[in-house]
Amino acid sequence: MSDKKRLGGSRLTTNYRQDLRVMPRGPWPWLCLIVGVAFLVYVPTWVENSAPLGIGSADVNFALITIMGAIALNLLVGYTGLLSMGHAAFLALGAFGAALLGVKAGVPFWITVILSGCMGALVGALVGLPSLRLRGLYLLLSTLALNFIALFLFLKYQLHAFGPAGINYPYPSFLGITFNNDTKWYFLLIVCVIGTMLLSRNLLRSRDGRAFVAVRDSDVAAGVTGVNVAAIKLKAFALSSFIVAFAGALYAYYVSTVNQDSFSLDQVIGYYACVIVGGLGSLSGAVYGALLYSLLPPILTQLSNDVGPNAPVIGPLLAQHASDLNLVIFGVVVLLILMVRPAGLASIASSIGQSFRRWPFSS
Amino acid sequence: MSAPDLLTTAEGSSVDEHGGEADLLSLRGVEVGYGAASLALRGVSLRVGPKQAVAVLGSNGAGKTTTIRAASGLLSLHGGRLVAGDVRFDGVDARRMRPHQLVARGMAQVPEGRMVFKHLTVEENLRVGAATRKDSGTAGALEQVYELFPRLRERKGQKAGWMSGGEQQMVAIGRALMAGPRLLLLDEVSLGLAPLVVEDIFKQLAKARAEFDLSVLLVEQNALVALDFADYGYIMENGRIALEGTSEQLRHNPEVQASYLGSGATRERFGVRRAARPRRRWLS
Amino acid sequence: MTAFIQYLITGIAVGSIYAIVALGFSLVFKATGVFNFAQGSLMMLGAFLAWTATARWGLALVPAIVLTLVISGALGVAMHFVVIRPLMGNTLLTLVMATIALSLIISAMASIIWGSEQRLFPSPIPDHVLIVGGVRISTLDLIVIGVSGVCMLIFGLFFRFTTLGLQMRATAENSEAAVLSGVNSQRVFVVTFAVALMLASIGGILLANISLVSLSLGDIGLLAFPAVVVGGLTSIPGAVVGGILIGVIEQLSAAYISVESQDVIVYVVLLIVLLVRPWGILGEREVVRV
Repeated sequence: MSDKKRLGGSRLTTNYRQDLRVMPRGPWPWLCLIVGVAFLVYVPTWVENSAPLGIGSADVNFALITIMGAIALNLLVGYTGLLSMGHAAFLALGAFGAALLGVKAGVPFWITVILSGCMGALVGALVGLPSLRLRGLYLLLSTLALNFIALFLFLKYQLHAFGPAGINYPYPSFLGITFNNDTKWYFLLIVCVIGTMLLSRNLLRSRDGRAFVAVRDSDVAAGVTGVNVAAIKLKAFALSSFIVAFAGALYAYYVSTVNQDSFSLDQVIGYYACVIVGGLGSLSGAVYGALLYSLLPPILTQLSNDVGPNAPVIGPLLAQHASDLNLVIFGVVVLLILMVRPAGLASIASSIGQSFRRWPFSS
Repeated sequence: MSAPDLLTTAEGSSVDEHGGEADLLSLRGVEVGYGAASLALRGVSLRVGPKQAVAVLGSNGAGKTTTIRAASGLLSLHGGRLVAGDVRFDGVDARRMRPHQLVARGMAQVPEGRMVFKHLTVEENLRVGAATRKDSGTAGALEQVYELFPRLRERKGQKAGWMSGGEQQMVAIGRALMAGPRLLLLDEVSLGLAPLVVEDIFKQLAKARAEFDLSVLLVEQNALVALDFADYGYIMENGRIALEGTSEQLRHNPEVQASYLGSGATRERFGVRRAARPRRRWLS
Repeated sequence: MTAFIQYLITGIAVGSIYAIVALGFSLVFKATGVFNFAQGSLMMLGAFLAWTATARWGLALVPAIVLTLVISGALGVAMHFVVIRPLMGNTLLTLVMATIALSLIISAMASIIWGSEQRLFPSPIPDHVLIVGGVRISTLDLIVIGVSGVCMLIFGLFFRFTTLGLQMRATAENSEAAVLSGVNSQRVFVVTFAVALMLASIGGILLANISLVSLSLGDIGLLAFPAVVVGGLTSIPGAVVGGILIGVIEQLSAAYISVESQDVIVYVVLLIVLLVRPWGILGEREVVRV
């Protein structure tokens, strides 16, 4: 795109690249990118060999799936302000799609996963219809109701088509590779996660993305300025649900067995906790929050192993009630964030970044 | 920073018809902001002496309601904060006091829009006003309010939401009186009421003022009625006091007449109008 | 027909428990605007506290209940000061997440303290079966209905005839007007929370008598939300009506459709109400100022 020569030689910019040229950042971005990619490639080997802080390769993969779910929720709640409690239902929908298409009908893996996402988008748009009439609390409650109804239907399907033990998924194969170990899954998932992050980032830079935020801030005002509020809300639901269902299908294949206990309201709450702790409306926040949420349990388990069951007070506590302790810690973290730093971990991270950049002038 | 008093005695003179040592309410240099936006009040100073009625006039957005909120401690409820200045009620620093503490000390308010409790009966509404009365004076106060507003006695068992605007205004005033105040803050009492009803209400307010020895601070858009009722007036514009004086002085001030009273030489007939004379802005 | 009446009575019994929990919930919502998602876990907490008092500390039933109420009241006060007050006036999501976080903390701590076994509530409440006109009625159900009814009556009288109750009603309707009339809103909120928690505890104790003392009580308490919405979020009597209705619907569904679907049917009803008449049976349409 020819830039500065247009418009009579004026300095008007027409895309982001031109915008960024105002502040030349030198080789830094490229360096960071190379280092980042190298690190990401190294992670699976590092984790496999030395299990840092008790984090295993399965934990990393779960973290990646959680990141996708958190980004999707952030799109809905953080960007568009639509309070939906249906996350678990959409994960289940993805698993259902994978079961129906992949397991029962033998459709190839990558088509299954994408089609599950599309199913999610369709259902998401349907679920979004109440959002056109209901707001705030009422929307939250209606999606809560839908969540329970959907999980019930999933259970019915599972019992009808597969049996009480759950649905089994074979190892998927794609481009000739069979994904039967954590390392292979890691690379598949990291590509998906990066894709989702790019999608989210670019969305915010687009016209629709800004419309999302406008609807969040004041949908009536947005409507008055020409935003098609109904279409935007449905788009937000569809997009967010696509990602969740996609993640759900991946999750189903990854864990290989899924039953009604795999999806619950607690999961929905967990995702909300991720997004809030990370920072609502922030992409990096969703990532931080999801990482914290999924990596805390293995760290705690490692801690309990290190400390041993005989240590005073913490010992037996960690040994027997690790999962409860997890919840308590996370609940307290959420409360602290809400009360002290509502903008979440992302804002903490960016302040740290700011003070580094301004050093020695940081306040 | 005090207003350029065009009409009162010279600056620095301590002999003033208005205000003095025993001020019931005094605001000095009050600056108020809402959120991060610019200031809503930029250095407002006003005084209400004992048994005095003071009017605050001005058009929409001038800062009148904010001034009342600053006096009665309701700023934080609306996201505002006192950036600078002094607020003293009855000799005590009122800035940190919570609204119910101020009510207990004798400052009651009739809010804009009346805000009666629609689902409570008239009598229940009045009783809420007695929240700060520690003594058993509630029954006595109730009697006094019914004496003042006999209509309320008639309707005491009815839900306040079903009453007319004028009756609701009586409920709101009665509720404020139940606290046994010494200073009554009235915020836009005439809003939405027919002129005859407004006259009626102000008559009763005058009666209440006489009977209970009240000071009154009233915020009004209806300048005529306000200046009739009050002894002293302040005219606010853009968050500052633009003009002050006794009601007599203000009534005869041509600027005030032109801008707020619509009377006198500059009144024009409806229909084709000449180009409007640019209104002088004292401060902006 | 007799079967129907039996289910109906059980439904009313369960429903009156929901009604009590919903009442506390509606109170908090109307007075402070806070949608207290923790009400279900608080119900469970009350049940566990009472159980501990009777089974572990050997108190008789009445002192145990009194102790539980006192502790719940204190917890309500603490909850208000620590969590709710700093966050009041914030967005809906903030408050929702704060109460959800509280609910998680409470459930998890309960699991740590009491473990996940299910216990029987040791109570002298007689559980016989009366046969009236061919219909089998459990005395437990009747007692639950009776106790709930008495509670609601006491509460209703308090609300209607005391000064504090009047102030609570005024604050619930228009908190700004109440504040400028001299009502100490802080005190009202604190009392509101304390009362709500006490009601939740009573509900929990009653429910523990009907079923068991276990962690799943919290999930059952979740059904108080549909109750409040169906009855009308903006109406306090609506909470009571909604509670009983939901209880009846639940029991009838369990009996005539299937046990697993009883909760889902309640949520279907919730959904229909939200789509057709969001302000509930007794509520009023809200006009939102943009």
